[in-house]
Amino acid sequence: MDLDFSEEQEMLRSMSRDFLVKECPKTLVRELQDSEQGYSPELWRKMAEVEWMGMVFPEEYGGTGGEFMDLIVLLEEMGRNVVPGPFFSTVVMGGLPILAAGTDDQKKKFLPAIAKGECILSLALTETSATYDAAGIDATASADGDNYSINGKKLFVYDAHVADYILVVTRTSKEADPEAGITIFLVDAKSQGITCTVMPTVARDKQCEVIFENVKVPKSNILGQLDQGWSVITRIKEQANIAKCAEMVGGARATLDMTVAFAKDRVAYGKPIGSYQAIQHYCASMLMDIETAQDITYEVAWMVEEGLPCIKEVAITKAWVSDAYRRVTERGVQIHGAIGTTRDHDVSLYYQQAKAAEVFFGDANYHRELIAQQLAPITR
Amino acid sequence: MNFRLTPEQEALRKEFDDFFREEMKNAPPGYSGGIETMFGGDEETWQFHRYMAQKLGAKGWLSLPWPKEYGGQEHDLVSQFIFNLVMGYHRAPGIGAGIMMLAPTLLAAGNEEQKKQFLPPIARGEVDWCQGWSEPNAGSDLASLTTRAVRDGDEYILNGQKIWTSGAHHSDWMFLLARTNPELKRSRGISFLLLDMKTPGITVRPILNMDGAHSFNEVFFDDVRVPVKNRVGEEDQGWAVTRMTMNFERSGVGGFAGNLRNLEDLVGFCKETVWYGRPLIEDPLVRRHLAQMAIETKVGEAMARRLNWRMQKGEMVIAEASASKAWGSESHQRIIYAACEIIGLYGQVKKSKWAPLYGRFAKAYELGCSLNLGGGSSEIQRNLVAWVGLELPRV
Repeated sequence: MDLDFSEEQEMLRSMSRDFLVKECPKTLVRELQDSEQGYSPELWRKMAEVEWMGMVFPEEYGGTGGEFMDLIVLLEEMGRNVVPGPFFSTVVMGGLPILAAGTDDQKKKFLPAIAKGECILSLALTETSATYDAAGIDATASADGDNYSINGKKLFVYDAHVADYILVVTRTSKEADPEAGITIFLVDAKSQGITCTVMPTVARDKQCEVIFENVKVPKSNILGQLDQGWSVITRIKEQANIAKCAEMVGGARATLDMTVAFAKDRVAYGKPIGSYQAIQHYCASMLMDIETAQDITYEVAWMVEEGLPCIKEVAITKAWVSDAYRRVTERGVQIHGAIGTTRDHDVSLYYQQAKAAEVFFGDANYHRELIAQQLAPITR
Repeated sequence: MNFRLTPEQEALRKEFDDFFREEMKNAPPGYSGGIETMFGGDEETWQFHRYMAQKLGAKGWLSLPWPKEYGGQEHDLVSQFIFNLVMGYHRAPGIGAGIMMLAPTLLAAGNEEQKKQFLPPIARGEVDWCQGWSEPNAGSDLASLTTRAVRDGDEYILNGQKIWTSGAHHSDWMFLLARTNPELKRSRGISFLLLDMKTPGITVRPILNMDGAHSFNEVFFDDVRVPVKNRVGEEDQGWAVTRMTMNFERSGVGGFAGNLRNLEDLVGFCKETVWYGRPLIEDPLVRRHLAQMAIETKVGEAMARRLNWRMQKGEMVIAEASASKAWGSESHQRIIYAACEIIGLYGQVKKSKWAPLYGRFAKAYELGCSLNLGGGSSEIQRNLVAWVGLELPRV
C-alpha cells in the first residue's frame, strides 16, 4: 500500500499550479467565459507545449506515456484554477475512448494531433431526454453504401462549436436491450448537415445543441465495433466521472482557501469573522467535505486506472463529491457575504462550476439509483 | 498510488474474517453489537465481550502493532486497520479503552517499568480499563477539570469526581487526569495517572442511558492513594500525554465497517418486506436512502484509510483525527435515522418478536446521540479542525 503521489506527480502538481496562476488569471477566465469561442488559442498552444494534451497517450502516438492518476493531478489543479476551454472534451471524453477503442489508423490520426494541440474533440452523447442511459439514444445512423448517414439532435454537447471532430453516439439497430445497437462515429465537425448552437448555462461553459441532418460519415470512422459502442461509453463514463471529481476537489479546495483567507481578514464587531464559532464550524465542515471528497476520489481513481470493476464505486464517488462540492461552494458564498454573490468575486465562479459538475454525466440522485441497482437490482 | 493489499495482508484479512465468522456464533441470542457493546451492554453482552477479549488476546490480535517485548506482534498500522475493518464488519466486541487509548499512549509516553507492568495484561485481554476524564463541570472544556491529586511522599492523594465514565463498574483500572498544581492555569498543572479500581476510597454510581442501559457512571474519589510511579509523563505535564490519547481515540474506524453490515441487513429486510402491495426495495425513496448509506460507508472507509496511512507514516493528525471523529459519528447517526425511517412504525420497537433486525436500530436511535458527544463533541472537533487545520483564531 502506498497512498502517496509519486515525486513526479507532486512536481506535476506544483508546476501546473504555477503555470495556471500565471497563464490563466481570473480576468482571463471571465473574459473567456463571456467570449463566443470560450477558450484561448494561445493558452491552448501553451498547454500543448507543456505536454498536457498528450499526457496520457503512449509515446508512439505523440504522448508522454503518463497514467490516469497523472491526469487526476492535472485536472485537480485545473479545477482549482478554473480553465475554460475544451481540454476535458478533447482529452478525457475524446482522446481516452480513441486510445481505448480506436484502430491503429485512428490513433495515428487523432492522438498525435491532440497532443500537439491541433485537434479539438467533442463527445455528442446526451439528447433531449437528458439521460446518460443508453435508452436515451435516439439519434440514428443508417448504412448508405460505404457511408453512414446520421440524423438526430444532441444536447449538452461540450465544445462542439469549436471542435474539429465530434464523437457521435448513435443507434444503428433497434434491439430489446437499449445498450445493444449503439455505434460511435468520428464525425468531421465541418461536415454538411451539422448545425451547432451554444446553450446559455450557469457555468458559461460551452454546451451545445448539435443537430445532425443526413450527415455522411465513412464506415472507417466507426470508433470500436458496430452496434457495440456502449461498452466504450461505459468506460468513458467511469473515467469522465472520476476525472470530473478531481476537478471538483480542486475547485472545492480553492473555495475553502479563499474563504478562510477572507474570514481571517474581514472584521465585524471588532474581530475577524473567522474567530467566531459560527464561521469556524462552517469552515470545518467544508474541510471535512473536501477531505472526504478527495480521499474517495483518489481511491476510486486508482481503481479506474487499474481497470478494476468499479461501477458502484464510481457512482458513490460522483454522488458524494458533487453533493460535497455544492455544499462547499454555497457555504463559501455565504461566508463571503454579499460580495460573494457578484460576478466580480471569484467565489461565485466556483459556485457556478459546482452546478455544471453536479449534473455532468449524471447528478447525485442518478448515481444513487445506480448504486441501488448494484445493491438490489430491480426492473423498472 | 497503490491501494492493493499485499498477499500477506490479504491472508491476514482472511484469517481475521474466518475467526470472527466462527466466534460470532457464540454471541448471546439477540446480540446486536455495534455501539451497544460500548454504551449499552447488558450482562450477557458484557460476558461475551470478556470472552472475545480473551480469545483475541490469545491470538495476539489485541496488540498487533506493539513491540514484541510488551506482548505485541510488530505488525504495521495497515494490519491494524484491516483488523479494525473486519472486526467492525462482524460487530464483534472485545476491545476497550485499554487497547484503543491507553496502550498507544503508554507506548508513546510511558516509562519502561509502566510498559512492562501494564501492557502485557492488556494484550492478553485480561484487564479492562476505563477513561477518567470528564467531570461535572469539565466536559468539552476538559482543561478546566478540578479533581485534585496532592503529593504525599511517593503517593498522590486523589479527591474529586469523574462523570460519564463508560464501563467504570466493570473496570479493573482507570487512566485519569487530575490537577497536581492548582497554581498553574488550565492545561498546565494536570497529570496523567493510572489507578487500580480496587483502591479504597472509590465509589462508582451508575447513570442510566435513556434506554435504561447501564454504561455510564459517576466515580467519586475520597482520599484515594495513587503511587507516584503510576503517573505517565512528567508531573503537571499530563495534557501533552492526553493529546496523544485523544488522537488514538478519535481515529477509530470500526464504525464504518459496522455500517456496511447494517446496510446488508437493511437491503435484506427491504427485499423481504412487502408494504402497500410492493416490496420495500422498490420504493424510490428507500432506494435513495440505501444508496446514501452505501456512499457514506464507503467514503468513511476511504477517510479512515487515509488517516491510517498518515499515522502509519508518523504524521501528526490532530485536525484529521478530529474531522474523522466528527464526520464518522454524524454519518453513523444519519444512517441510523435513515434505517429507522425505512423500517417505519416498526422502527421504534426494541428487542422483541415485533422488532425487525433485533430492534438494533431502535436501540441505536437512543444510543447514537452519545457518539456525537463522547470523545469530544462534534462542536469541539470542529473547533480543532478550524484552529489546527485551518489556523483560524482560537476562541
